[in-house]
Amino acid sequence: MAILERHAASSFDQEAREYVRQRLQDTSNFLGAVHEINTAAHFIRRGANVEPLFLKKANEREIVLHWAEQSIPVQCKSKQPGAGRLISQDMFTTLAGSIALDAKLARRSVLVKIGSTGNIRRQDFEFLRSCVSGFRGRHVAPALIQHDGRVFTLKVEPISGSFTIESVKDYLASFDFQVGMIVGEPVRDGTNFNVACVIGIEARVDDRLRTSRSLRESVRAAADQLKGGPPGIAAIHYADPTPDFEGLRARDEPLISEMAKLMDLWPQVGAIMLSSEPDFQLLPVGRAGEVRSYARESVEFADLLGPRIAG
Amino acid sequence: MTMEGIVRKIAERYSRADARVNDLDLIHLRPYMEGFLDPQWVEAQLHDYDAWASKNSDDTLRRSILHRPLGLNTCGHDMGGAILGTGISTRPVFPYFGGRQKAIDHCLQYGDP
Repeated sequence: MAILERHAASSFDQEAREYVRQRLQDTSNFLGAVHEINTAAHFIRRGANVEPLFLKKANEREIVLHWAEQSIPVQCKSKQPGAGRLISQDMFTTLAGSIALDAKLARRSVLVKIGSTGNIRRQDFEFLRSCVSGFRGRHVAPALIQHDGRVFTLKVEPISGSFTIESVKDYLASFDFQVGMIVGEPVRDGTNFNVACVIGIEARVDDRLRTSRSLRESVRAAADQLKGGPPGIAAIHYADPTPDFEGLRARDEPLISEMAKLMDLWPQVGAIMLSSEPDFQLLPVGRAGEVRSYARESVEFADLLGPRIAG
Repeated sequence: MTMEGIVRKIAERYSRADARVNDLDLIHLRPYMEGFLDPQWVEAQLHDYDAWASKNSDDTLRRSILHRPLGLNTCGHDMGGAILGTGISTRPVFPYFGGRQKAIDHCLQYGDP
């Protein structure tokens, strides 16, 4: 915000400040506002002059970049938590944290596996938490549990072991969860952690088609807004951590092929920039969110995008 | 130098592609962002979070996994983390959402990989 205000001071009149404040305070709106501000700051840091049109109400054009004698429109699309996934990172973190807290209070070290073939919704949260909390005894097979006409599988078993900062990622990966969390307690020497809780969502459905369709919809929405102007940038931000954007593709061919097809379909999209939130659960120091850009060969602003995959 | 002047200098430094966040700048960015968002609104958000966390979380979970209620507007809380993570606040250090680390990651979210 400070970077944007410094470089686009004339756009920050009282009306704009009030509009941005309202959007940032609005739970359903603030992710989009933050994405637009971040995108503007990103291009300022890349050396562009930025026109932040999103500071004005009802302006269909969001950002125009002025760089190397070109005017480049940018349309920002913010993917809400859970977009194209079985469970949003936010909801999983809250659920897993609450399960871990219950286990800690009950002095249990547990491995919790929750299976689902459909979306896990907000209204399932307390149900799943209470099922895990009340689960006792040893079961060879997962238990089937029903809620609101839907079926989940649940397996809770004691767990012991240890990990280090270096090994935690591999340790968690060994459970093959779609999304998982491990909670550890540091041992006295400060290098190892004893496993306190491992919680994960198991999903055997192939949701690549859904995530790919969701991405395509966002590019199409940006393309609709870019129509009639010079080639621009579709800046798409995932609120959920997305460590590997290749996971967003529908088929086995690399994501760059799918992005190239979308840019062929909508020629007004000269580049697609994907970004995501960092994963704060795995906290290597100073890790920022991911950014990856795909640019059409013919556009002359590819250098402005930063890290990109040559196409 | 006025607060506006200090924030302008900070913003200039962070406008470079290779900029990295200096923790101490958060002292000045706190009143700037509080003023932008509305200090009373931020305080109310943090108060609501305190109420939730006292019943549903603990310090370790808040610090390590950013444990928070569903559907929360994290805007005020990210700022709370930024403020409190510096350890300069009168509130206890790190009670909110990953504190300094989250604040730094968010400040330069698009840091070049």
